Amino acid sequence: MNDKSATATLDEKRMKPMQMTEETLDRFIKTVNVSAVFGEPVKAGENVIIPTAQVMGGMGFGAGFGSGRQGRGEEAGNTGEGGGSGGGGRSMSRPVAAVVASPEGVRVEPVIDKTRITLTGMIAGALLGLMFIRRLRA
Amino acid sequence: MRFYESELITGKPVSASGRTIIPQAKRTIIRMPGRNRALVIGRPAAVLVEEPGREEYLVPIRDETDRARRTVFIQLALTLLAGGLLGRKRRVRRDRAAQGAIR
Repeated sequence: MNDKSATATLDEKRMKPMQMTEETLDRFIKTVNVSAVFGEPVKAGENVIIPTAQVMGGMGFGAGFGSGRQGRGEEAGNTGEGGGSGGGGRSMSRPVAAVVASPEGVRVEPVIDKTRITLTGMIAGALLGLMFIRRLRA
Repeated sequence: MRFYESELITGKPVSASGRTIIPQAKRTIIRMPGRNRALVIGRPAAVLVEEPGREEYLVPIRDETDRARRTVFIQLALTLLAGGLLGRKRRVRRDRAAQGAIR
């Protein structure tokens, strides 16, 4: 009976960090909401500008708990318990567009990141160059 | 708990120039196995515009930078594929020619 209750307590202790990580993860996910994607409206004369951005975030947690007994059977001595947890995350955002509301109507002005596009083009060019060199050598 | 979730979320309405603008965003959640890791992406989807004397309409928000990058990657993939197929054809022709020469 004592062993069963001890195992149940052990299981509870093991589950608690898992539940905590799940709850923290759920809270992190909820931070990526509409107010994170759409910024505060800015009034410029007759126009109202709402900036928008793409928000990306990743998070990971780990937690563990263990216990052990010294010796076996009747010689079993002290019990020890230990636990640990760790986690990390990163988030980033980049502008996507600006929604402009004017007396004429509502329009979307895209934000074009030329640096990103150029970098992508350079990577593509490098890969194509590598393929071309391989072909020449073959 | 689903591995992949995508949902449309609506924000607080904003009043501007006699119109009501309701922002809509798309939230994508990717949960890794183990229940303790996740990746979440939020991007603007559209704005719903309500005007007096007019039916409400949706103004989509397109990510032009992402579109340009995707175009470059797709073109790269197609070029690599075409290069691979052409190379294979050439090798087959070369091997056949070599076999013909041996005979």
